[in-house]
Amino acid sequence: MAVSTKQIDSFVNELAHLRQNLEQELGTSNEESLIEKKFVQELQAKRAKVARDIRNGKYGEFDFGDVTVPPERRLQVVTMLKVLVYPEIMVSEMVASRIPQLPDLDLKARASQQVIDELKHARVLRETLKRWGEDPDELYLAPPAEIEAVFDYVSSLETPEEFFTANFMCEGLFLPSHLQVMYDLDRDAFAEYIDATMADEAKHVALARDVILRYVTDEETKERCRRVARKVTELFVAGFKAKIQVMTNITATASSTAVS
Amino acid sequence: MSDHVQKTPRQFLAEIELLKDDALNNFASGEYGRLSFGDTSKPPQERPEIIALLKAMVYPERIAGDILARRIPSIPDLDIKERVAEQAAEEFVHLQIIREMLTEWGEDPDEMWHKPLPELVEVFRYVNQLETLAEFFTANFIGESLLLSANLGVMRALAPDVFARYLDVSIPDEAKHIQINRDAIVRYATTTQLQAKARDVAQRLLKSFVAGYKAKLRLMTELSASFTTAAIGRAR
Repeated sequence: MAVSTKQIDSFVNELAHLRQNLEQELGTSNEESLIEKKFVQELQAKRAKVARDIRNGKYGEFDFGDVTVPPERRLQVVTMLKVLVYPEIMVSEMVASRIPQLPDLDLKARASQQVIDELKHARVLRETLKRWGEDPDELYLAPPAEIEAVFDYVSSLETPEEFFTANFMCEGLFLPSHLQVMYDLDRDAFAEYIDATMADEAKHVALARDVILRYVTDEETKERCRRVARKVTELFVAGFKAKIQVMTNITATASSTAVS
Repeated sequence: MSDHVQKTPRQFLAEIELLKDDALNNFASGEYGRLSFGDTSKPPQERPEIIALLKAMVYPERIAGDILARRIPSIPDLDIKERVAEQAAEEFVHLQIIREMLTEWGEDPDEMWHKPLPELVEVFRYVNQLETLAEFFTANFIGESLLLSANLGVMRALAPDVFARYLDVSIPDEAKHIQINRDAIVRYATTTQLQAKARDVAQRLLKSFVAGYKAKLRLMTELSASFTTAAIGRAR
């Protein structure tokens, strides 16, 4: 049975409440951490608004074609998988290069696990595409410029706080705008990829949140991170639109070729 | 066969294996000194040699994780990338085990992270600045192979119970890491020029590793001596 976004939200809220209660019981919740939590909540609220807009179709909608046709024969599905290879590999490389910047060992260890996860996601995508007789690296080697722009921007960020703020926004948006939609519209076609990624993405968002909670502690850093959140969200939306455009163009080209 | 003759990557790997085996023979014959872990009738936390060795190992485990992570973006092949990412994660696990052992024994686990042995710093500074993947993985191959046989193997032979927690995890991991390096050398040491550079790296790393090993022995001896002096002072 498909899990709705509403159900996921209420489950996450429930976990947040449980955590809060536990922290109060253990006496680990203090005023300082509440201030940082408010900042995270501020980012979450911004992200939730954009996620809602995306889910409501404000920036276009994914269409994976006729679900009765096998996925390997649907250009929309093939293109979607191809277009995701580049982000998965880039995230792995970028998180890896930030590990030396993280002073805390627990965060270093979790970031190195994220690198492994992202590479595994890329492997699942590439293996599926190869099995379908497709070139898995086509859009890795020539990604849409708008998606490249997201990663150019994120790699230019100076500090781990800014970098993980960008990750917090993007990973958090990826889940409802991509994975959830793929699941809702055609979970069989994307089953392998969704199974490999869904649980990992929640972990990655949690890592980014914990980096923010730990290091974004003064007003100046918060302001810098707010700017990053705004900019990267704009770029994410542009990348989202570009993906839809790529899928539309490829399908249109294929249709006109078929007609002629 | 001359060093300047074109070798296949596998032939080149075989040459590096021989170089490493020669060095291991020297370690085994005691040419560079021998690890010893003090009075076995005492608990490990009261044996300065053990504390010294574990403290000295914090820096290599931690810096190795960082150096590997930094190198990941320059690795073109996804399978090697993924295995190196796993290696980085495993180095952090090893580090965590050593730190937990030291903490449980009432020691400062980060003392020698902040003040590492200069000879060990030099090994990692050198590896971190290597330009090509052929050089980088050759250096890692030498370092990991010597670590496994000359350090971990000896720790296992001389004080298996004391180091069990660390060795049970690190020995199988290190064997895996050596294999990654072998596979990467075969993949990237593909030209005479790259092999020549990697050969120089192997020679240089052998020397740096020996210097690091001797520095660890020196530290263990110094700490043991100061521990004995303090004990005599207390007895008086």
